[in-house]
Amino acid sequence: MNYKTIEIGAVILVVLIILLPFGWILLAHEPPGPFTKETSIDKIKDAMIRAGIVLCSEKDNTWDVPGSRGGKTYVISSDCSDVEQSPDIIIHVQKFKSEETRDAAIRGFNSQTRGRPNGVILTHGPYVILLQGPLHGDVASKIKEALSEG
Amino acid sequence: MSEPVIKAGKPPVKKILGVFSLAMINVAAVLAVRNFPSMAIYGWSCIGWYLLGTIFFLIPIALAGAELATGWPQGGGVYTWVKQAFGEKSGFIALFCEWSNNLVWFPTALSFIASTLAFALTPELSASPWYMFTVMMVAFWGTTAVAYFGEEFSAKFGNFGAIVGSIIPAVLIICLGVLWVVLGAPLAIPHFSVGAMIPQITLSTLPFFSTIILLFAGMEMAGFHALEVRNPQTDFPKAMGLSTLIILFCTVFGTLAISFAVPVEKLNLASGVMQAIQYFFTTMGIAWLIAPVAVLITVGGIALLASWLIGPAKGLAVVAEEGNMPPMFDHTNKYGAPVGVLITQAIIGSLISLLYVFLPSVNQAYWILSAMTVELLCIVYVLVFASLIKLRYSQADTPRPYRIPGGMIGVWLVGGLGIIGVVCAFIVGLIPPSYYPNAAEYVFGVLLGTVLLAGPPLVFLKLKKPSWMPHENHTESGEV
Repeated sequence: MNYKTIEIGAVILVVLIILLPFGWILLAHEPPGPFTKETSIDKIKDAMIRAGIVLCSEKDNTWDVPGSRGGKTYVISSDCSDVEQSPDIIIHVQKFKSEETRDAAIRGFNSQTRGRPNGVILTHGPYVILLQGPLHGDVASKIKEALSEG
Repeated sequence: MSEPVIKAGKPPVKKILGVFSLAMINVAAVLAVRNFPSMAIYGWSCIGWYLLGTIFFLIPIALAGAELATGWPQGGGVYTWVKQAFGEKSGFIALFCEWSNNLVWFPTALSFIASTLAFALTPELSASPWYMFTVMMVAFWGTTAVAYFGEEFSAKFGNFGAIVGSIIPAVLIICLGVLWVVLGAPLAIPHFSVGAMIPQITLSTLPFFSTIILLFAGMEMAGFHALEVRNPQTDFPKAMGLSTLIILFCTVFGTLAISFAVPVEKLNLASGVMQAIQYFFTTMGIAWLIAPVAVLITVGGIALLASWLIGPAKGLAVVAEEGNMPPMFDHTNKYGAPVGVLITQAIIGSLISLLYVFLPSVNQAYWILSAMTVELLCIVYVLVFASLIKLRYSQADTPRPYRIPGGMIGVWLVGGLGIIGVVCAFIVGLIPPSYYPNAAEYVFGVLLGTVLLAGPPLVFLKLKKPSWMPHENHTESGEV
């Protein structure tokens, strides 16, 4: 093997090594799920209650993002009487008018800064469920499980 | 000191960077207005979180960077520093981790640029993957083109971007926050108390520590430009100090300004910084300023991208120049820009951006990628802090115009705090999200991905050939 072949081989090998994690990510890709699923904000709220989550407060909220059709913001806390002082988790449930706009909201969440995102995002039909705040605990997994059961 | 440096087969390196330009390289690399809303969610306790990041990372990396850059001002940044302490292989791995971490980060940075620009034009555009991909590619290849025209042009672009796109919007937000308080408008956060500043440290908040550490990642970026600095021995410490003060002031007070004015339910991570600013400015009666600020923040995003795109690429060019990579990576143009590295990086980054835009993923893939960026950067910084300590022993007599005060105790304190912070960030970066179905698979995946992205230097060093050593002119100009 001459030096030129080794050089080209080295470059190809390195590029393949670099792209390997991304290929694997591609295989592990979890799509946002069907947009047309029959559901409602009340069903999502019921699922959260079924999952044992205590909702301290509930407010109407419409995100200022394209395609948003409004939704609710729930606050959960270890101490509901002190929720203004220390809201533990804020759960946004927001409906979108199309798959494109819903996926754009997911992209917006994913384009946070370096490192781990400061929150968790789920989808359920046309709804985006966003959990944010200092304590994520197992709330996201409980909601996900309750939604899949219900 | 201002004489051009001449390397065999390379165009002369002009000494064009002063204190301000150097400081702006770091400001452009670290200060990001887009982080403000995600931290504002924490209210007063954001101060405590920032304090942790400052003690365990920002101050240590600024001091370490100042000492290492003045002691070894040969260019190459982290590569040169780690190489001096632990040898060529470790230096190459440190640099490659920084570079490959960028490959994961580029699509998210580009996506932010495209969606913020859409906000200034027509927000609906951000829902179109084709719009997103087109703007991302224009920004990516445009920034690569800026790098192509060499250090002088890049420095001017970086200065402009840092001031216009990062400092001005941050100061504007701070001024509006002050006005909000002075006018007696209702605060969106509870009244101040010392207890409110203390962050909740629990098992479930621990992973957030890695995010806090990485908020200040990039303070070492000026080190990559050491060769072009007029008086590295005096300019580096001043630039590190200046950039640290600007970043800390803008970040802490910018975040507080947003938390004063924007209720927490309006701060959602999916819509981002522009929606928080929209609410803030509309409430203040200055809605007309939203679109211009969106343009400014877009410019800031591009400056941030440019800083991370150019720095590590210059470092890799130094590695190639030493014969540790195939000659195609040692190819520089008449402006002294590392064309081979820049083009390779742009092609790989474009492919990954394509996946990012057209495969919107909800959780798993994104979590793993994000965790990889944490681990890769932690490897870089552990090696930098360890080099700081090691070099005080192995090269005690090397002149360091800036020395961390306090002798060996000071160095151990600074390096030790940095290592503790970064190692903690590395460990918590491996904690899987609670709903991830298989924790072992997650940890294995993150570690495997990190090793693969950190490993190529070993392949290059294994295959290294004498012909890779530069012995002829590789510049486009054909002149030496």
